[in-house]
Amino acid sequence: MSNTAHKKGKGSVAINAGMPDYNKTSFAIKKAEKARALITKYGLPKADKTKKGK
Amino acid sequence: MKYPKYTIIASDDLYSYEFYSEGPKGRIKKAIFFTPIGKNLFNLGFGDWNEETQDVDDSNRSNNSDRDKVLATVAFTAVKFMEHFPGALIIIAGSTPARTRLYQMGIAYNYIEIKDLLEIQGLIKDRWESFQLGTNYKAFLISRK
Repeated sequence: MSNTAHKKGKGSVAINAGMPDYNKTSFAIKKAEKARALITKYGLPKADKTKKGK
Repeated sequence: MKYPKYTIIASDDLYSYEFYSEGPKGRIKKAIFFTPIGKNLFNLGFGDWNEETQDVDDSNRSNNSDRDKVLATVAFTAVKFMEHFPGALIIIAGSTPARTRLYQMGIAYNYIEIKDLLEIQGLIKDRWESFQLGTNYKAFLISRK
């Protein structure tokens, strides 16, 4: 299977194993830094579900 | 979800997604990705993929006459992401006020469909509150109900 070939993935979404890792782009890194800063400044809502886990 | 949307493709780790916007300006590759920034906390990133720079760009307005379909696709992708990561809390903040307004429109446009699935909080001034239609927020936090 080539990198651009798609296979049926988990659920109803097809998977492309050759997709660029968008999370490693400079855009993503800058956006993540801004989001962290925002959370540091304002915190999370009291009823957040971050401890729920998968 | 009942609104028209594009077919999305996911990465192996299900953190990244892509689709093609199709309209008068041609076929534009769009990327949606969820960047881990804390325990079960992710930042939603979205923009056009630039092959030349190998980076994402959200500064352009594509004007591809498919805004609602694109926004419905982003909303659908967030729902799909949380099906895979049910404990995830996703922060959504535009890089500019205009971009944040675009996200707000996306939430509002899809609100009827997503309000029963997702808990949506909006940041207003210095506090989070439950999302209300017609209120302008600085950022959003979404999680599964």
